[in-house]
Amino acid sequence: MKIAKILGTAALVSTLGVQAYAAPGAKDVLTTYADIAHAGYEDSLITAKKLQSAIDALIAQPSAETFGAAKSAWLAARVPYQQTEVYRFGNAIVDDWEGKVNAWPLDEGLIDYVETGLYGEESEENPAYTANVIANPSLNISGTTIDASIIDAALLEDLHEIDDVESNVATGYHAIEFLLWGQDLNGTDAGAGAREWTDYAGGDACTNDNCDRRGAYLKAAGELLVSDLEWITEQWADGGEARETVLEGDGVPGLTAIVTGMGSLSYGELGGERTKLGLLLHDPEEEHDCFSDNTHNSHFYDALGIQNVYLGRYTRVDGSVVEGPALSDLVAAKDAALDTELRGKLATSVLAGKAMVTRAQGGEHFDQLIAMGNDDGNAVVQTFVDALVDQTKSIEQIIAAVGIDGIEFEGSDSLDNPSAVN
Amino acid sequence: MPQKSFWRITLLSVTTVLVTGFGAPPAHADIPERKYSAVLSHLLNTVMPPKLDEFHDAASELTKSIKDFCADPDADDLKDVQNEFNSAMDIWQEIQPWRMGPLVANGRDQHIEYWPDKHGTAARQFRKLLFSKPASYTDPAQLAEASAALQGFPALEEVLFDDKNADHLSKGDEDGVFLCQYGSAIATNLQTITGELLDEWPEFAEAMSTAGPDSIDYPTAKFAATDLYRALHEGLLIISAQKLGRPLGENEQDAKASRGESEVAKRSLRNIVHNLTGLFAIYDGKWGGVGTEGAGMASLIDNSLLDRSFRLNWQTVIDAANNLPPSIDELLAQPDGYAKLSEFKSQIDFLITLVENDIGGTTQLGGGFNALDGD
Repeated sequence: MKIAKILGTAALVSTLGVQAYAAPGAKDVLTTYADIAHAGYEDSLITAKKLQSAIDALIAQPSAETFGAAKSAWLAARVPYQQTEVYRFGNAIVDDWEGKVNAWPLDEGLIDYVETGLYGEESEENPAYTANVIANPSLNISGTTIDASIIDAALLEDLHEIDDVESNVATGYHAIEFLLWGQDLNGTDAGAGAREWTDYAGGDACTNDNCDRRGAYLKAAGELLVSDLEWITEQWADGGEARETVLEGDGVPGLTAIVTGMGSLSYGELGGERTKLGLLLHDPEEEHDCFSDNTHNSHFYDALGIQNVYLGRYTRVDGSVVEGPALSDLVAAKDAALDTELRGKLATSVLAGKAMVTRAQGGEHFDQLIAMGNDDGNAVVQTFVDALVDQTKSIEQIIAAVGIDGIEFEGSDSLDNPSAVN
Repeated sequence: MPQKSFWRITLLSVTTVLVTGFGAPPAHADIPERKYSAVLSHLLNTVMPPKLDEFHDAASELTKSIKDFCADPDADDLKDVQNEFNSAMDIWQEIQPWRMGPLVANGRDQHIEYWPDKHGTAARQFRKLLFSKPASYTDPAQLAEASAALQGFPALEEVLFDDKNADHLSKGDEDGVFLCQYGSAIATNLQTITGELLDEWPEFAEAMSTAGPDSIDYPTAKFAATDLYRALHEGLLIISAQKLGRPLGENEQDAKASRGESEVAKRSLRNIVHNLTGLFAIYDGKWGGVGTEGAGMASLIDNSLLDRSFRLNWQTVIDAANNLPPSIDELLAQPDGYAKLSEFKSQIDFLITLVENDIGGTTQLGGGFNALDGD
């Protein structure tokens, strides 16, 4: 049995083309982790700059072609970014920053016109639910007047999470997605948002009014996305705060960051909030990329990102590979069976994500898969959830398998500090 | 944004386990597998089944009550239905924190009670339902295939306790007839779900109690017992972050009782009292008249001072909870209500610290991930 498992590992390693490293030190593993982070964010920046160029071209010369090119650039930009999401949980610097670029879900009525029959006119929790910045040069939100006559990056930053409402998402990928696709009004039927390029046209060709202001919003959101990604890329470069943080000390904080990121994304976030919830509610509003119907890809690349950090290998957007000693090697040195098991489970979740991609390529997207009565589609999504939950159980076992010397036990308040008990 | 702090909570738990993992010298010898098995068997085979019986009976009584009411509606009889709702909700709130096995399989706990409604989905779906009144939602079998937000306790609470809906029900007008049929379907569906839960539990309990090398799902009793620790820990986290943290908001001006659980029925704090009863049973091993004191997770703790200290702290929180009104709405209406609610949350948070540092470490079950890790 043990031999079979070892052979299984070898076969998997061979299949994936991953070089196995024998029992690396924690610092080596963490260096690879930081290198992959830097490459992932740099790729996100590169693709965001291409998106920015495409937006500029759309605004300069609105047409079906330039509009389509901007949408294609947005879809391409999601590929590397989603693979970095595994860095969010466990790294405070990323978690505190990421809301500017990937906050979700959003009350899109803050930004532009919406179909109120579906969306509603107001929300008890959000005074800016239908503020429509693009249509209104002056806004009154909770008694405060905001001058929105000029739409620029500063205004968007002011509006982001205004009134402490998290769903007031004014910046980032999903704000841009809404401006390129518009609301998906198809419910759980086929079809994504159907915004026309003429929403950016000049003169009489302009549809839904305020095309110049809509263009200004899109341009400012693109600029912010680039500047935000420049910042986070710097944090993972040599000497950057994020890299220094994971590399400092004896390796415990860094290894903890890796495991926390893998487990939290697998279980609570991707398996739970982004996938299981949609399935339970059969509600298209519960899909991550709900305007573009790109959720299948976002979920697949999230799962791939989890596998990347465990195996210590990332394929960049230019096809080059960043790789090095990995957590997998560290675990294998302590518990080869656990490493084999987790590699298998990570491969399973990636394949389950790929199955959703395949369905989408066949015309059945995530919002259709989660529809009430679509038992077959529901099962495809449930398989993805199950795989994520299953891999979390093995990720938890890494904690016990990876030993770190020289750490003191944490104290017990109830025994060490009796005054704190009552 | 309370969610932002969750990863830090996870980080702390994970760090604690790393600290107490292979590298550090063990403070105590490994707890024998047989001790974990005994706890699992006691809690899952002896303690839980009578409570699941009680839950199923309560759901059946609720179904009968609402069907009787719908046959001849009037305002007084509606109160009887509301009382049956509260009885069923009380026992559910005790069972709710035992998030494991058949209780969470296929999202069963969410079908029983979809809450919190962070994205406003339930409210939106409910509005659309009352607008279109589809007949399919009055059929329990079809309702069971619908959105979780429309088929459990919160939906029934809207039907029975929302002033406007209650008025329609009592009058028996066109809206009242639909609400009656829909409410009956929800109660019937809850009866079915609790019956399934009752049926499936023994197999799960047996698998957990006999955990060992022959089991694919539970290769060791210790691994199986982590589900007990996770339930205790996550149950307290949910009370703090969701049941109290959401209505508390960022500050007193931001506080909103309607963000609490079951606030339409004005019983958000009553829910927490019952949650604490179910959670303490995991630790203690006795739940009302069922079980044996000290036969729960407490039996894994070879330190009487720590055990006494934990019990003392828990009782302090119970006393505080019993001194609060049944709803956050009522508490916030008091001049010092916000301060009292904040203080109560602090007490729950201190219990969480004890569970993470004392119970998790001493039982060697701490760490792991939980459903609160997402946004």
